[in-house]
Amino acid sequence: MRETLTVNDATSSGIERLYLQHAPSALRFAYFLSGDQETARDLVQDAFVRVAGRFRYLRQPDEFDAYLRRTILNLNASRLRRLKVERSSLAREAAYPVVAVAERDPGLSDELWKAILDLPPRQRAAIVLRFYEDLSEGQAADTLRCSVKALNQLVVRAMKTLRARIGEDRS
Amino acid sequence: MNDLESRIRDAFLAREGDAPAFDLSDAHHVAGRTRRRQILNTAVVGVAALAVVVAFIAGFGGLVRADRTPADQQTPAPAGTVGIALPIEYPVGEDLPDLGDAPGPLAAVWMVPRGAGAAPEAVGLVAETGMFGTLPIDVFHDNVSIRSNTQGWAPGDPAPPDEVRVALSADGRRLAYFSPAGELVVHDLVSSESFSPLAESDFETRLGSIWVDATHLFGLVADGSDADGWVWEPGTAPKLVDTYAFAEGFDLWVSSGQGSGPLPWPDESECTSPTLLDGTGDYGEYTPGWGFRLEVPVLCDVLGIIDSEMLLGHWNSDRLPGDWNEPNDGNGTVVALDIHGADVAFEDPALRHVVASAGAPLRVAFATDLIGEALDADGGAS
Repeated sequence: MRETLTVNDATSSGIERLYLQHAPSALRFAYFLSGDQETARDLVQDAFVRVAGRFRYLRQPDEFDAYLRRTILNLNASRLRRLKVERSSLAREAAYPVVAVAERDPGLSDELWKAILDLPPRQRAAIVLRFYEDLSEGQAADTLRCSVKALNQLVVRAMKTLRARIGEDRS
Repeated sequence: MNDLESRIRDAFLAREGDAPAFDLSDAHHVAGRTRRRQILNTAVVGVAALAVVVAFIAGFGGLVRADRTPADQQTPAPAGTVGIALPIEYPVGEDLPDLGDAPGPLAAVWMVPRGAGAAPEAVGLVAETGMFGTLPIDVFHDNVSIRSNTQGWAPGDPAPPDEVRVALSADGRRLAYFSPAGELVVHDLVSSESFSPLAESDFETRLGSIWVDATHLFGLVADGSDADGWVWEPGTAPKLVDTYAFAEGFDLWVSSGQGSGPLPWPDESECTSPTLLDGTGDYGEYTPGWGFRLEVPVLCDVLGIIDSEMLLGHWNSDRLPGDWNEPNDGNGTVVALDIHGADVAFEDPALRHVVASAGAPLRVAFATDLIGEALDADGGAS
């Protein structure tokens, strides 16, 4: 059940409470988008300051998590744009730490994880929103600010790429 | 659920533990940053912050005002009379003339790559003549980025000041850039004078600066926090300022004779159809708590508004809605869309006027300045 936020949430204690409530899931979301822990932390903090700082202007304060998610997405896109401009995107992506392989899914999961990190940003975001955040098609499309049809195109493209990377024969 | 989808879900779940750990001290830190932002948002914003917005307004000559900036009557003079005929096309592939040290105010400036290892070349568009040409300046060439200040610097701007290596003042008269040695230089395009604003200061600057109006240059202090900024104007020593107080807390409003309403700045990272808020209630659909909303489907963003009747933006022509829609990539032509008397659909191609064609480098900055100068006071193409 979604909590109801009030103007008091814009106070320091309210902000801390909001952060405590939303940061863990936001950090995971940002991490899956960026593939980097420090980047994820920066994204979440910056996004939180922006959204909470404009709390009184939010059209639907109850949708704080959706605003936060979208802002993280946008900030990550801005980050990637800057990397692109600096022509260091590939180097940075390649430098991302390779995370530990989970015991329950050795080998293939690591390969799949690398493939997910290599997806174009919006395709990766679509995958995260649909298969990790478990958002509906409509919610995910709204977060990405695209139509459901476009969202599904992103997912289809991503799945096609991932299939090619991990090999159909292993499915 | 198919097998691959299941594996993807498992892959995410398996790596939940790799996500950064939640740190309680972060909450205090973030709360502090947020409160500072909120407080400063509601405080009296400095004249310079106002000037950022006014500079933007002056660029478009429209009835746009800054929210919470009561002194917004201070309108700097625009960059002079312009005789640029529209549409205008950048002379791609042609040798450009050298504009010299004192070409007069520029309507736009951008950097052109010159190949591996070579510093990019600065190219300007002279406001009074519409002439393209090169500028005789040598710039720090490590990943040069540029910002023209008629765009203004808004909170959440995707290009913070420390990335802006070359900046044109709102009146087009002064160019700030970093020399190959990393020294900040300000060049007056009318008098041909050059300044080294920070030569005598007791602090270092980060690379990058941005004009907040015709005379005030703003940057960040090296090794300082993101609140440590400096401001300089010709004839003075640079002054240290609080960045938050300096640049936070304004929205743009579109004003008309019947009232006013906020204009949400286009999404900072995606080029999606903008939503215009209409305080008059004449257009769009009413959204409780937010007012009348008006989507403009043919534009992927709004670069500016002229006299409440002309929207300027990038035409979202041939991209799928879900595609990465970076306005500086691809072929999103800049258009001016006449919305005067139109219904909410705005899909009539006849209403579009091409004002800057694809091929112009750094099209956003280029078009923003160009449009601001090239449209007449009534919002039509000059």
